[in-house]
Amino acid sequence: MRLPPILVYVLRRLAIGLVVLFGISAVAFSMAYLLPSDPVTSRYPDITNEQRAEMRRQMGLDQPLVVQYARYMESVFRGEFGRSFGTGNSVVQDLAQRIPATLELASFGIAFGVLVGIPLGLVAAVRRGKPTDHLVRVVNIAIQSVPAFWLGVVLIFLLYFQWRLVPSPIGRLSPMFISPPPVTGFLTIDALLAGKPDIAFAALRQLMLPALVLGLGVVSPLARITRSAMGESLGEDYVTFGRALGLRPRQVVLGDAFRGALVPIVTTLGFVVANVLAGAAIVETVFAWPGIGRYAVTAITTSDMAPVSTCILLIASSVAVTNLIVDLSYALIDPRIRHEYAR
Amino acid sequence: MGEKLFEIQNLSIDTRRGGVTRRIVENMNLAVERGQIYGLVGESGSGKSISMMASVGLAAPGLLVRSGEVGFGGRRLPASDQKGLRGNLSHGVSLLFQNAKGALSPFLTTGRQVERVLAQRKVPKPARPKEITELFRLVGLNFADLGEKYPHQISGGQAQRVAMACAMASNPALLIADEPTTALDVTTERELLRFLTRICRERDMAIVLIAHNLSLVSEYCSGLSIMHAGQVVEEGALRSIFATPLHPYTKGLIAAVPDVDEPHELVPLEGSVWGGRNDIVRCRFSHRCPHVRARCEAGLPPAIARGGHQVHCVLYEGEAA
Ligand SMILES: Nc1ncnc2c1ncn2[C@@H]1O[C@H](COP(=O)(O)OP(=O)(O)O)[C@@H](O)[C@H]1O
Ligand code: SF4
Ligand SMILES: [Mg+2]
Repeated sequence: MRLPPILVYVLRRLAIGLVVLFGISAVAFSMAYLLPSDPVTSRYPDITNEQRAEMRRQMGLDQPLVVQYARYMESVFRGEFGRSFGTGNSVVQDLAQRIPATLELASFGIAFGVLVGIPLGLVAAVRRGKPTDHLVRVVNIAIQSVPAFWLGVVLIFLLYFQWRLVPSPIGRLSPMFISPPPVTGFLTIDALLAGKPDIAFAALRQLMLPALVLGLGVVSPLARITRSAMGESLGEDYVTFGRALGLRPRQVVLGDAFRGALVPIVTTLGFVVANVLAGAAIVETVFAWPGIGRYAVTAITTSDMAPVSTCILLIASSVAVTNLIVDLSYALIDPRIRHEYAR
Repeated sequence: MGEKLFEIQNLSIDTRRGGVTRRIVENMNLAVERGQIYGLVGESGSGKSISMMASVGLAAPGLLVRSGEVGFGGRRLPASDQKGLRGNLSHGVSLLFQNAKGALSPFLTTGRQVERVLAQRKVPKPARPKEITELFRLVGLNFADLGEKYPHQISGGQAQRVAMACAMASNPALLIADEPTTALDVTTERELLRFLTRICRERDMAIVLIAHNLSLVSEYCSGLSIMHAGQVVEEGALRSIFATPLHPYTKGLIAAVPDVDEPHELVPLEGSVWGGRNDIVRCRFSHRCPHVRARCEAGLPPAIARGGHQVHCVLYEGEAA
């Protein structure tokens, strides 16, 4: 039986991805293990040494690192990621609750970054060297030089405390509203599906500010790569020939030139997604957003080992999956790459 | 004399880089008749591409079109109105480039590329497949073989033919072909040019054939302009120029054409790059010319009609035609 070449490519990539994740799991595990504080002590600061030793023995912490890792991997393969001391729940349960919150926040943030960053870069490329181009550059530098947490705090201060333009930063939905039954996990969409536009709007208002702060970090890198990649592809012979054939500028600039610039843009977007996941930890903390970023930060500060290593694994997997999607999208964008993969 | 189709008058183009302005096309004139194959020859860097691109509104950003007028059909526009000139594209003017593989969009099948030119011309969808097949046949390709292929899957010669099909899809009266065969091997080159000239006769289409190969042009063209360092030095009927070349530069070129069948390219000679200042208007051949005199550097050399053509050189001043 012969599989379609593109499927072979995907399977090969997935196999490599699994091996990489295996390596990362080891790193994740040792990182959790190497955290400076001791999980038992940070949980129960007032116990005696005997009690502590007994607890460590119960938890398997007295075993050599390799044994602990082997046990850990064994349970991972059974789909058990341990229990959080902090919440008392299984990590899987905790994550299932929090992943949609982070996904919704990240999706809106990235969408904002893409919808602002790419057009900014496009305009700058088309107006290269003109005042618009310089303006875009200044805006970029301004955005880049503002740290996300600082911007978050300032925006909360101005827009909430001063002007009451946004609701208080207390997570995904004000307690005045009842959460819609979960379908997609996105409150905005679920509320619409439940026929509750007022709740969808309330959720959107909560989401706006953190998504903006998170998305701003995406704007500059995307605008910059779009400008430079477009600058290059606008000079390609096929763009000149398209113009020479009398094709509409929109067709030439957005059809051919933009498509020619899309591979580096998507590559950058892939990097940016990893940054967004890191940025989510800060933004979620500032906005009391109940997502995995805040969960991971809490777990790290309390030496809650199971959530820490699982979060690291989760973030690593999502980066790996993002990379795979990025590579596959090359094939969609450019037939030359498609035929390369198919070989 | 046929009906005049395309005319460039007084075209001057500057570039500015690092605060230095250079004139790269100076006072250029060109006139092409309906259905005529016209050669534009000059060594590499003499301003052939730039002047023709500017004449259709595709001057590269950063180039400064200082003066000139372009007439096409009945329409005359100042050369500085690049946007207006672009209006001629797909309304009678088409182009071909040297690098055909790079000129085709890498993202579309060859058939799609031709189709979108037809769409631009508002050919209704149901009528397009037949017209595409027609156009492929016109340029000697089989749509069934190549129509679904991408540019990277076909040869350079095939790509140039697809580019031709795209160019022909708007049914142009003028085709500006900028060294369309330079990237191809000699056999493919001949094939393509024979082919181009046949289409030209069948469709009464004029061609401006840009080349740096004089023997090639001499085979196909009836009119000729010779450029040197941004100036046209001699222009008019090809036969007249070959019979009695007047400009010292042209004389050198024609003497150097050994045999029609042997491709001969104009390689930039030593000292060919224009190194003079741009605010001094003069014959730009003077630093290479054996007949140079004071008058040559005192202004633009006069245009003097002689036989079936014109020469720009002070040597012929005062002589009656
Ligand atoms: N985009 C540009 N900006 C500035 N100068 C250019 C540009 N393109 C070409 N030139 C210069 O203009 C001159 C003429 O170029 P070109 O018309 O391409 O020559 P040809 O087609 O005769 O080989 C050359 O000296 C070249 O360096
Ligand atoms: S104008 Fe003078 S320098 Fe120029 S070609 Fe004629 S004789 Fe030579
Ligand atoms: Mg050229």
